[in-house]
Amino acid sequence: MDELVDTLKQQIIEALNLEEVTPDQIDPAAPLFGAGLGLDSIDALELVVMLEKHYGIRIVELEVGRKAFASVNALADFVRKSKGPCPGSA
Amino acid sequence: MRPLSITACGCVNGEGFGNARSWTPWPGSAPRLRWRTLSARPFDRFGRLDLLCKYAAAAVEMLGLTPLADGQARPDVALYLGTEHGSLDVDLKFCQSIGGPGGASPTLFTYTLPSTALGEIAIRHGISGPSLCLMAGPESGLLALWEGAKLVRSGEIARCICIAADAVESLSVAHAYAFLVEAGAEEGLATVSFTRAAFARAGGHWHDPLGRLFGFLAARDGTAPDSTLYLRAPATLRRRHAMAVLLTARRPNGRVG
Amino acid sequence: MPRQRVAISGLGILSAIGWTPEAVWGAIEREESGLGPLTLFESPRCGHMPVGQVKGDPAELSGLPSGSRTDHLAVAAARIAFADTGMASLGEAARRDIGVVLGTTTGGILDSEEFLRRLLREGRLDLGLLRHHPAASPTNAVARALGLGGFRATVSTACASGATAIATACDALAAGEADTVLAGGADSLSRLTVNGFCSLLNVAPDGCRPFDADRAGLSLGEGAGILVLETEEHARARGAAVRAWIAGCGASADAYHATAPRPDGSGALAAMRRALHVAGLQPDAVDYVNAHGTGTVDNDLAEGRALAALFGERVPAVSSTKRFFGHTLAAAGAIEAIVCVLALQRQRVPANLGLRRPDPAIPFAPVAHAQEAELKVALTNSLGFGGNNCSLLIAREGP
Repeated sequence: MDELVDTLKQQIIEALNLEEVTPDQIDPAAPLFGAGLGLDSIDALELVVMLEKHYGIRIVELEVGRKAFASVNALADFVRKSKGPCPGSA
Repeated sequence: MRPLSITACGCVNGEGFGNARSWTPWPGSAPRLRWRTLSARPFDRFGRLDLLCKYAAAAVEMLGLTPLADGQARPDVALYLGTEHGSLDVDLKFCQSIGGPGGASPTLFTYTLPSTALGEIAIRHGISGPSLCLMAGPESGLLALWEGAKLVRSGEIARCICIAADAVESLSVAHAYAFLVEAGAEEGLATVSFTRAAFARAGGHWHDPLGRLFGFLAARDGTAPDSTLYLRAPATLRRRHAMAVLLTARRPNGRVG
Repeated sequence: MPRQRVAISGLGILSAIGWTPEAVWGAIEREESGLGPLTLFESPRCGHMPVGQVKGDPAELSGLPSGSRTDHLAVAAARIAFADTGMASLGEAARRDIGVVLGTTTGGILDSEEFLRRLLREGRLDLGLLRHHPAASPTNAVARALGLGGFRATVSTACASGATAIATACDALAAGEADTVLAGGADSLSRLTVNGFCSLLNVAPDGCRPFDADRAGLSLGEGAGILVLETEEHARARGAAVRAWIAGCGASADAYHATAPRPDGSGALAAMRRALHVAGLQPDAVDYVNAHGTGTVDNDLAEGRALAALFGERVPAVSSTKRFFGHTLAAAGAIEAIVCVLALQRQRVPANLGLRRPDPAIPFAPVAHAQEAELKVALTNSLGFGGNNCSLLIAREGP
């Protein structure tokens, strides 16, 4: 389980070009947006691209994205749930 | 017409970075634009900007604008950018990202607009006056300076930051200048006027007019105070005018508001 | 002291709803949207969203032997505008001082995309397709096609470019740098913009519905809008038929975010206030507002708040015409300025097409159907990405 969280942290850092951030600096339970990492709405959309690129999950509505990206833990849950019997369906 | 001054200038290029007071060559052989080398003030977003934004933002940082308190803004400052190549690198990168897994990158998309550099700088420095990005060939930067100076001279705005920036990796081009033009400043690097009479004295178009201007303002080559530099109007204006830049006797220190 | 009004003596427009001001206005009166399927190129993502594609081939109207789609759109509109002024009979010498200021965001990118496609998929190198890539290409194409040798610049301020170009041209006229300037904007549909906006998840699946409670985003469009601007002196000296006047221009920056506007609309408000200040007018002088109104949740709310803050209790007739044209990006500011001119000439307010249920969060309702009105002054907003805002005031009467 931790492995997915660790992988996601790496992928987030890579997708968002967070040069000065290391994975241990990201608290998996903390909010990703607003305070902390200081991510904004474009970053959220960039994560949408990342999700499809690495996991084949396609988000087409902003609301779904908002909930999924609440924190790294939330994102990990979302990925696990979405990669059910039909991965990659929108 | 109000008297015009250039009160600060900045430059970042392949050799190094600096302003009228000091110049720092890049450490090491291959300069990589790292924020910590440029400035002690934090700029968390810097690493995520595209190259054009980075160079433009770095040049503006050299001007030494006072950091703003939360909620403060600068509505009386305009931001003009001149760029010959704009977002050429990113345009191509973005087009290639379209077919990729996951689709196009929204971050890259925002950088396909050279005006995003204006947005990023405006956000960092709370600048909410008029902003303009001009693309008019190799003299785009000079045009931005010219138009910005005219805007301030007209009395419509108190100050204009005029930026010239180009960054295209595949063309090995990367540099930026920034000049702060103000109305009626008492302490400046130089005063500026526009004159038809000086057109002949301007002696043709410089290959790098803004580089010439920057060097002149920094007076690093031992230029005496009260010297005048004449810069011809950019060819695209089709005017027989020159900008006369008169170096002031006093060299101001301290921060710029 | 208010600035001298600038004469608008010629109009040229290419859009999804027509290639002449008459055709465009006809569609506006019939409340016919120009949105339809994207057939210009294949687009696996978002290709099914309706767009404002120009019907027919702009290359037929431009008279250019070669050029990008944006070049053709710009030159075609410029030819029409120039002919409209009666200046087409001018000789070489007189044209030498006429300037051109255009805004574009796409430039020749559609052709450049084709270059990449041929190279990567077919191994073919068609360098000719890259010739028209630079942003300055449409401006240069217009200047060359009409033999214009004056002040020339290309403006790039995202979706505000067309309006900014007009404002820049007005500055040049006020500074005595020219007495005639062609100003406006042009943009073509492209894979870059279709995929780019799609990645922002704010493109409406059933077409944009500005200010609607259930609005779901913007619709892309393409086109060109060109206005011939002259100083009052010059226009009167040659007995020009003046269509309308530019009374003032104002610009501002949100300094907030790369794509989202300041939610309280203060950026747009500052631009509108600047335009009024330059024109020496009070808000109550405005009879009609052609809003930027893209149909995104964020823009319409912010702009709605800005309009409410500016006009208070007495918001004049407001409509966004983006469901007619689509969001034509750099052309929008100019196309919508032309809509204002046509509205002032005919004393009719265009409908805010696509409105089903006005958003209760916005303190006024836009005009649902075209209506007659006494119109003396119109205000048009262009609020671009990166927070670049530009507002224009257009008046029926001159100085």
